[in-house]
Amino acid sequence: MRAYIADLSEIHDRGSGSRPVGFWIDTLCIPVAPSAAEYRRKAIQLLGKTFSEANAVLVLDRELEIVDSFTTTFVEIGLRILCSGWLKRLWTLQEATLASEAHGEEKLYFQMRDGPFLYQKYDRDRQSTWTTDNKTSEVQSEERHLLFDFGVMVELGAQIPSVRAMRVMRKGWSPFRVIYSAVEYRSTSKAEDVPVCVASLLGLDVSTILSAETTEQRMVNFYLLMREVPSGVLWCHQAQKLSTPPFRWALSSITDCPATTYWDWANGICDVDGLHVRYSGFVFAQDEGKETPDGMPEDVLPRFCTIAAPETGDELQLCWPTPTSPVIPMHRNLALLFRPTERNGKPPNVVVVVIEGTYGCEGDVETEFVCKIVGYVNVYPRRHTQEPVFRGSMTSPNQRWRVT
Amino acid sequence: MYLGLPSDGLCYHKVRVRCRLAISLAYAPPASNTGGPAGLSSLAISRLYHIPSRVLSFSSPTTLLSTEQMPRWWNSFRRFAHRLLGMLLHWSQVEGQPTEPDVSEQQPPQRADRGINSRLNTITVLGSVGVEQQSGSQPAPLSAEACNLFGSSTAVGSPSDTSAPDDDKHGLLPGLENPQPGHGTSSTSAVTLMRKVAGSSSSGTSLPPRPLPAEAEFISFTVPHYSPTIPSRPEFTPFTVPYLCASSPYDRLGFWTYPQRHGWIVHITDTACHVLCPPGRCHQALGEDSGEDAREPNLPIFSRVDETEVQATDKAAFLQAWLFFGVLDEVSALCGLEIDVGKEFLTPGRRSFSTAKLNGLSRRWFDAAKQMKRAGDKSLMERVMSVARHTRLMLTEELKVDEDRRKFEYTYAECRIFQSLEIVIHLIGLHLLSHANVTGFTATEEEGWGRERVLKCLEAAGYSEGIDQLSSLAQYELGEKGWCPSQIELMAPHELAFASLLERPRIRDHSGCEDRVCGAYQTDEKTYKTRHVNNECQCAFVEAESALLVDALAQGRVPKVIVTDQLELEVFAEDGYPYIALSHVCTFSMYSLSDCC
Repeated sequence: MRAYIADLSEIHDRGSGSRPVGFWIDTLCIPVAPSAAEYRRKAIQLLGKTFSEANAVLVLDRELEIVDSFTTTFVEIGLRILCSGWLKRLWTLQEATLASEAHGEEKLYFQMRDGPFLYQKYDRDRQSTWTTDNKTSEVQSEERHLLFDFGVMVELGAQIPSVRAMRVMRKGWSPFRVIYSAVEYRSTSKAEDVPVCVASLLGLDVSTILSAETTEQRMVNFYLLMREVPSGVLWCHQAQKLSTPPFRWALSSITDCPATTYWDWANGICDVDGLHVRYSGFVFAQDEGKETPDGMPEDVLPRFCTIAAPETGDELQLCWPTPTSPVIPMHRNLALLFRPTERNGKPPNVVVVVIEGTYGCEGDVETEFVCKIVGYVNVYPRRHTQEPVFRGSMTSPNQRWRVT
Repeated sequence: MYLGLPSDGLCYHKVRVRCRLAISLAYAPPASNTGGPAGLSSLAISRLYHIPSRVLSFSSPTTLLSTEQMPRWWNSFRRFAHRLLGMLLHWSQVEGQPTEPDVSEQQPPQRADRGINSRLNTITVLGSVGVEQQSGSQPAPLSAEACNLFGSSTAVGSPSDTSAPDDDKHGLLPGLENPQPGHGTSSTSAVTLMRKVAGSSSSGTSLPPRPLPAEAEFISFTVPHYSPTIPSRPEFTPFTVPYLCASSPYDRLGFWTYPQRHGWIVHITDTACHVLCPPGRCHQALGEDSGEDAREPNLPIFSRVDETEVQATDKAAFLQAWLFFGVLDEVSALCGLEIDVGKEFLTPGRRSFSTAKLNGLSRRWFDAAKQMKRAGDKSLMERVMSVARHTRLMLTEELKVDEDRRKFEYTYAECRIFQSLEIVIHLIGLHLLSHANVTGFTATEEEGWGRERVLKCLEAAGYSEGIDQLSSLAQYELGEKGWCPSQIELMAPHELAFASLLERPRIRDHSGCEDRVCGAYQTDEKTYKTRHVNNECQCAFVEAESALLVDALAQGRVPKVIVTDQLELEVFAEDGYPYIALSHVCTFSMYSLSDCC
């Protein structure tokens, strides 16, 4: 060991007596003693600063260290980075992202056999491929296609998003969409790391997440920090959700859903009362759900049925997404939230909720239904009247719902 | 741009690959019968061949570093620091000789990465504790020379570029002086095609000469790391292909008539209706919705004059002779490059050859064209383009008559021939771009050079002969080699084909990984053991002074370390002192909940 330090030191001496360049590495610079837990948390809060203020960030990965960067094709370098263990881990995401484009400088390097390879050189024209319009000449993007390299470059760009991509959203994009593609293929042995890492990247206050005592509470704090959440999460029927109200709609893992969950959905607003959204829906007439005196529903929603709104003349057929779907008890205040028609996709297209209260004046369009999700069904235009028929009323297209 | 959601029941990570490809295709020819979304499906199809059983026997991790007793990141850091300091020393030399602009000689080839120079320079300048000799120095010769060679004139040309600038100024042809088409042996059909192509772009030969480009220098497309002392980065990863056409090699008697001379009939022709149309199809006639995953049944593309049935090996050999050796010969002739393609690639007696020599050929063509004063000459570009278009058309995937299944099954080695033909097309594309990059080159809207014409005309939109099969075989091979399924999942057909050429150490066991998330790096903290450079090493864990770390953190500063002259780790936290942050895979979570709270 001493031989190494001596070796390094000797080089430093040749650097004409100046003090050697410093370095930061987590294993040395984050206190590990059990008594220093408070400062370890502090160090994590400072990670953003650590990586954005570094003069260079050097990636060490054993697989990349055997590559001769000078004589290797772009597509090969890209594929090797894409397949490196370094890219597969969660925490390296923020290290890479914060290193890229900080202060408009290029400073993310990969250690390769013949020296550090500057990532942004490889990445240099990704920006321009995004901004191109059909009329502009885009030689670089043509070139990357011809080098068989464009796809790898785009994929790497998604997995190592720049700070800019994380914080300045492209028009119509949700941060969740960028996060999703950056985190999707990364693994961590600790699920609770995800919200910390992501919040740090987005420049949010990490301390409120770190101070949470459970993984679930970390996620809750994360959603509260994010505030705007694509309402597509309501239709994720297979994802694991948080268990505490009013966050039972929220995904336990932000990547535990199709990527499309975050594409072009209207944002719901997440606050301490739940998720506020506006969707058209159908409210079952109160007498349709029969409950025992102690409030237990007597029936379940049949596998096939028809819902009718006599006031507007609407009739729709309803069925379970699959024959083995979980049964939905017929509560007294059942309602349906319709997925917007422009959002095609696989069934189910309707969220079944129980309305637990209202907020605002009765009958007012701005009245908010406070509800919880109880299941998912599929609804389609009526072909024939399928018994039984449940009556109710259609809400306005902008009905306010607060999902808890 | 196709970004809609497929509703065909694909699971969503496949959706993702599709979307990526869709983005990619947004730059490719517009939606077409076999293009657009349909092009994506070869990947989906290739999944059908996916063989999930991976019986892997992993060797112990390769020790790639030296056998000294240090944590494994140490060597890398040491090398980096070494280079950094080497740079500092180097600049002090440069400063000592301010009148000497030629830095290339002083720079050892392995350290000639200019981007890093300029970056590392930033470190010294930013640092409050600068190197003495460095203070006030302007390392302009190094850092000012940006690596963006796509700019106007920063490229470093060949010796002839710099030696004869005057010749270049008046030497470029406007496209009028060499109207003779092709070789002397060009057939009528070739001439017809040439006319069609010329007619499709209004430039033709009837326009007055355009202003001459000011200078014509080859601009490397693989620039980062380009410098006079280092050969250009290779464009395409080389590989070996069988030399199948030995019995009927290319005869160098004319590209366009080769099939006729050798008893082949070609049944498809290029329409070339609009300048941006891909070969054989009209992008304006094609609707947006071409239907996903549709392989349009088509007629036979090739048959034999003697009506014998075409076998897969026959076709591969024929196309290798014509579209590899023939195309390279034809384009070289057009550009004025004297080259015997056969001798260039083939070693006598060998039954296979390497594609390595394709790298750099684009530049040699350009240099030869420049020698002929034809750099940026649009008539030359049109003729080269017509060869490339025809090659692309000939590689249209051939299907069974009235079926949507491919007609030929090739061996893995034969598939590599088709990959080499794809590369030839891309190589010509790069060559055309280098003409379009000549300073002062302008093109009208109708000529299309500024409208991604190269890509739209030459990139395979959809299936290309042999490539679908190649990607399936490559995908299987990657699985056998122990690549992680989540990595394979991300790759498009050509990427699979190139990935399967790479050698990688089997560092981790991916047999338990899923299609999306790699679990091979999920190490239980309890079993985590810091690796040493030498696996036998028993040395103690290096630690920095914990109290100093805590002090710095308490003040909201980031503690860093330096190695002092006394060979100790010294903690410092002052702002503004230059430091390098190391990013590596930490197999245990430094930041876990249980530790923090």
